[in-house]
Amino acid sequence: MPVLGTLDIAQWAAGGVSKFDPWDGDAWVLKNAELLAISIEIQPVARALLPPGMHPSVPMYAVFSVGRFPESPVGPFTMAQVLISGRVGIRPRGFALKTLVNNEAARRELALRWGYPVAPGETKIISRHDRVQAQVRAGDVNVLECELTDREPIEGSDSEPLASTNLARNAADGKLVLIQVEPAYEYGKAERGRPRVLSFDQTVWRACGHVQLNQGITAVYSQCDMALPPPRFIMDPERPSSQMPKAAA
Amino acid sequence: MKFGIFYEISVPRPWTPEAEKKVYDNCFEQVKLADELGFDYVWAVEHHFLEEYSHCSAPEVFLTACAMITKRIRVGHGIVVCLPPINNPARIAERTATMDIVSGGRLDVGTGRSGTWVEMGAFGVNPDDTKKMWDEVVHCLPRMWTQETFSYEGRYWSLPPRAVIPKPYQKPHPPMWVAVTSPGTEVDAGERGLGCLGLTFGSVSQQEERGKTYRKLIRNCEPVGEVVNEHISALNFLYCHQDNEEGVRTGQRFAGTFGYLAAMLLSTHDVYPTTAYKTAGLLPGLRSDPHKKGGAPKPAPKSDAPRVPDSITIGDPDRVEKALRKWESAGVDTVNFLLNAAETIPQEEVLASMRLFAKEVMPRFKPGPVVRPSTAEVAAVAGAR
Repeated sequence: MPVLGTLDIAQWAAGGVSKFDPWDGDAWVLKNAELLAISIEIQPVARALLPPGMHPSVPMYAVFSVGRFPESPVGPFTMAQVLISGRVGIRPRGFALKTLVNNEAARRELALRWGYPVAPGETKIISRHDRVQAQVRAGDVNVLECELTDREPIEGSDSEPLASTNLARNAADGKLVLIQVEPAYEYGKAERGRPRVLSFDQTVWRACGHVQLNQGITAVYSQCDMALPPPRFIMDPERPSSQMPKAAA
Repeated sequence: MKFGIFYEISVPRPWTPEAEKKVYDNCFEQVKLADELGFDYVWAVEHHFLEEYSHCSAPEVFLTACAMITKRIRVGHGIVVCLPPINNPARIAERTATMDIVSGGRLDVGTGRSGTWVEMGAFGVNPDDTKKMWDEVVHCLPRMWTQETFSYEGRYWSLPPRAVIPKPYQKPHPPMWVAVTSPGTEVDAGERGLGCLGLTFGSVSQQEERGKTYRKLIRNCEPVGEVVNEHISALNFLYCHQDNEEGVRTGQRFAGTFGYLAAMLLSTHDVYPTTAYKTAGLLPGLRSDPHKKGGAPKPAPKSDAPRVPDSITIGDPDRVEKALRKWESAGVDTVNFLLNAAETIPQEEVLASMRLFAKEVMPRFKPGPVVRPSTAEVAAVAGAR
């Protein structure tokens, strides 16, 4: 049986999780979005940041994901996330440690509809000829600086952004749930390059010193239309969604 | 139609010395039995760091031991990762030639380029380059096997004039294959005169289409070696039981375990956007989303009868035969079988399944026209190099 995450769910929740209210309806459409995702391998100690309902991927990696959304049902907003790679059953997913959003209405809706672990924060994406940089600030503090260098065009369909899973408290019964967010993308432009993290505040992102960076994998910058549909899969964070078949003997 | 057995050698945690040894011992027992029962091939992959899924990082050692305990079964070293940062091509030529000698000329060589970030990230391989690396290596291997002195200066590896020794026992050299997972690799196989070593669990119709392309191309191929290996093999799960329901249920459990373990691994396609890896190998099928448009059909509501694609070779002998007929009609020459995953099925049941298959199913497939590697008219081509 593949190993599972070892995050203490109750303790994590005591540190603050969003209230989530399941809903049905049309997906949010976020036109002309600009996204930058930096993927870096991390030490297996990060297993302590994954819920027991998820398997760590082999090897583990972190995604530093930032986005600028000029159009949304609640107006323009920016968002930055740190995801820890894993699997829900057999599907690749990233557990969201923290999501920093600059628009209060967006924070409220992202938390309520998808369980994002939101907090205030401002993201800048700066595009230069040789690189794309991202700076994330919480208050007056730089909490993340990362960049893509050696830009080269790719087909957007070749990239597979890691979908996030968010730990939240169900509004109806107060139970902790793990919500899978499954965005869809229509790419206008996409680029690939070398990934680099220049600074990363473990405390603000709730990484607890467990996100120890190894070698970079890749960085992807894209301009796209993004859709955020209602969550389809809501699971118990303590138990794997699909148990591996048991051995007969 | 021919039949083979195929090993990833998956070892469930905890990895105690006894557990690892037990899995290997079980494989040897199966190989010995397969040889006695008339299976044609035993294949073993080369993988590194793919925890639980494949503990077969030194297949040349495993397969040499297999050759020592068998008499007639062919030994398939495949896939060998033909990427110079992982395997120096001269070392591949040396190892395979030695294995061919030791096995008395029973070696087949399956080439490939790996598909996981787990492996490429570890060995510092740029995923964009793997097709080109593989191409260099497959063109060099036959020359190292056949030329007294070989030298090469390429983009990804070089060798000053050296006698690469020993030379293979089979003349001019062992049959060569390429692992076919990504769409389009059947074209590479056909154009180079290589056997198609199918490693995905795709649909029969997809296989048929790719097989036609391959057959068409191989007629006018420019072979990399001195033999053309026109041969299509496919991979499948085997669990044969007198009781169909029991056979399907157990087979599903083992196939599910295989897929589950595979899904934990970081494929290159997952994390590294490149045209070189358009798919995640066998993973897309395993991850197909039944709820999405174009995804696999939704599973039926709870039912006592287990549902499984009718091209998967699990169940009673009749069901297994029916599944094989589909592959046969799609132009497949050989089906290689996975027999177990992470010891999901007790060893005695694996052996019983093999025996039942050999007794009840194998005889129903009269040996077709034997596809043997034929010496190609390649003197001119070879001379032009």
